[in-house]
Amino acid sequence: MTKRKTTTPPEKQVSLAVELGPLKMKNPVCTASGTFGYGEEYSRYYDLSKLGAITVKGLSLKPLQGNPPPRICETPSGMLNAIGLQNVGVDEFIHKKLPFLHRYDIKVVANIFGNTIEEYEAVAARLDRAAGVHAIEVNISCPNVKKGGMAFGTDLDSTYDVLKAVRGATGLPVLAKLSPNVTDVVPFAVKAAEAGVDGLSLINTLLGMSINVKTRKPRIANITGGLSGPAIRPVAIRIVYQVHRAVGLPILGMGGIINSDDAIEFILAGATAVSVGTANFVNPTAASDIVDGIKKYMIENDIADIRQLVGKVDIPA
Amino acid sequence: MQATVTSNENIFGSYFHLEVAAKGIGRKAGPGTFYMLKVASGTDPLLRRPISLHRVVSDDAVRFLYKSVGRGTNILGRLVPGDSLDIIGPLGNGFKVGKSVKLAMLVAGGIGVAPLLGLAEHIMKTRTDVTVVAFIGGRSEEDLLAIQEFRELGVRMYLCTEDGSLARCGIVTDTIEEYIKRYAPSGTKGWEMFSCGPKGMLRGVDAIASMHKIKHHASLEANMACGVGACMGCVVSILDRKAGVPVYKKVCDDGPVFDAEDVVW
Ligand SMILES: Cc1cc2nc3c(=O)[nH]c(=O)nc-3n(C[C@H](O)[C@H](O)[C@H](O)COP(=O)(O)OP(=O)(O)OC[C@H]3O[C@@H](n4cnc5c(N)ncnc54)[C@H](O)[C@@H]3O)c2cc1C
Ligand SMILES: Cc1cc2nc3c(=O)[nH]c(=O)nc-3n(C[C@H](O)[C@H](O)[C@H](O)COP(=O)(O)O)c2cc1C
Ligand code: FES
Repeated sequence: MTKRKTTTPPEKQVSLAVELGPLKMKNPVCTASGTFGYGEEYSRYYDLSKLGAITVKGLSLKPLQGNPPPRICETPSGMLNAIGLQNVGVDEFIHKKLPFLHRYDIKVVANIFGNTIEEYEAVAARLDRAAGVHAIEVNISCPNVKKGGMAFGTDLDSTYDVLKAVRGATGLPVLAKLSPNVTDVVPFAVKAAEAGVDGLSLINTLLGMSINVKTRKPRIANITGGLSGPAIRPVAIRIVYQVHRAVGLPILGMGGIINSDDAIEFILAGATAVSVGTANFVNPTAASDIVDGIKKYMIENDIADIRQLVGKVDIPA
Repeated sequence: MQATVTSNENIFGSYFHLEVAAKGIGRKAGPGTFYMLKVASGTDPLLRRPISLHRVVSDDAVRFLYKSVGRGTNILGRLVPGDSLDIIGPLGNGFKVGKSVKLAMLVAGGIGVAPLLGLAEHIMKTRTDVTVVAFIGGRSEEDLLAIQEFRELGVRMYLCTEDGSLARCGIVTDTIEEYIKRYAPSGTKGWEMFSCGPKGMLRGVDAIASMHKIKHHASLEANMACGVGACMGCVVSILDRKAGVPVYKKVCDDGPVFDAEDVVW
């Protein structure tokens, strides 16, 4: 018997799986810390198993109240936030928030921060023993109280010390979320690699400020805040590109990703996976839509494996 | 969800009625809940705007009352019937009318009347044992909104304007105090207040409510990004009764309606 000809071609098989060092994800789409709550908030909008991973709100040793309001304001194609890292604390996260995520086929990245190296270490150690945490992302854009409040992430030695300490406290994959608020991120990426981390998260928010000209007051109570959203995307792309060329570590790219073309842009610049942040606020299904969009792009452009695209920006000779 | 604009009418001044239709949009909409509207596609303006449910028209249609005050609401004002509008909601806890309520005192300042009409309608429909009175204040005549609708519902109203251009001259707390002076002597058992308006007004109303031991539910506002409890951007300071200390609660998720007694004004 001869095979019957099908009129519609079968859907092409494409592989979206990626590895951020030892962290294996079924697709390259993650959510950015602080923009996706603890997952539950968006589970009403789609099946979270659709995503490669989610990163939860930054966790500290003790619960934190955060900054006084107003905490956010809109800016051209972006927003400023000074939430002040309000969170339930690592213990309540493990006992009350994490179990909810067990029901999804998804990698859970726990974002951590502290004001001393010991705090970072302690939080990492607790997460290391928690079932269902697959990686730790270290936010080092926090003031180091023992060094006069200068952010860990803006000082090369502090960057190394804190990452080395976290590395020693856990066997889980460790991603270093570097601060973009430095002249050149590359030396910090090199330090992170020396400290033994498995990957880099780039970028955190850019320090910004906005003034209401009617009242002549800053528009958020903290005066300055972190800028996120499409406004920062070119800066983020540039940093991912520079770091990818200089350092061998896999990169989780983020900063203003709204749709799948933006995600592809990050991958071409050198990101292995991407995180969707502010876009979740604008469109609750953004991250899920981006998974579909990447797949469609691959089919249309004959890309069998997403890993083929990493860093493949075509720079004219 | 994608809703279709069925009408967008400039009532007067900067006030508009917007009606939209989408499957199921009004089904779970309780009084005092709100929606997040994406006023334009694209990234500028980026964030959605929170707007309260004004009235449920049907399971598949709702009505908003909004004031054009800035970029986003100006864009909203240009929508015409047939346009599509990206909406999420209903969101938030909304007003809860307890079983023991006998008299519901609705207190509105300016555009704050938006969620209160829906509340009046809801109570009239579901609770024949509750009497509704409304205290509505505004800067001047044109800021007294939804009067016609309240009248049609048969709600007794006490109106005032700050400039005296309509009804009595004064602020809404004056009219409430007078009402209380007149009717409270026969007892305030079962009286509860439901308010929405500028923060200063809510604080004033709350002072009266606590003086007379009247339970007070206040709907608060805050700048919002997500509207679904994920960003922690919209917090207000609320007393945690168990711990005895103020904590930050989310207007979008824990509110927008709070027990006013616990609000740290
Ligand atoms: C739960 C809730 C329900 C609301 N219901 C109504 C309603 O039914 N009718 C109505 O007219 N208005 C309502 N508002 C206020 C309305 O959201 C703002 O007037 C609107 O966001 C202003 O946007 P804009 O772009 O026109 O103004 P702009 O001042 O240009 O806005 C800039 C930014 O500030 C935010 N913002 C400005 N004013 C407010 C405010 N008062 N509250 C919250 N965010 C603000 C905007 O969302 C935007 O992100 C409600 C607010 C909340 C929090
Ligand atoms: C409201 C808000 C809260 C955030 N909280 C955290 C946090 O707790 N820890 C962290 O490492 N990054 C935090 N970020 C930064 C994001 O994870 C992300 O790096 C940044 O917003 C850039 O991506 P985007 O433009 O897609 O939002 C936060 C961002 C926003 C907007
Ligand atoms: S608006 Fe994001 S938590 Fe309320």
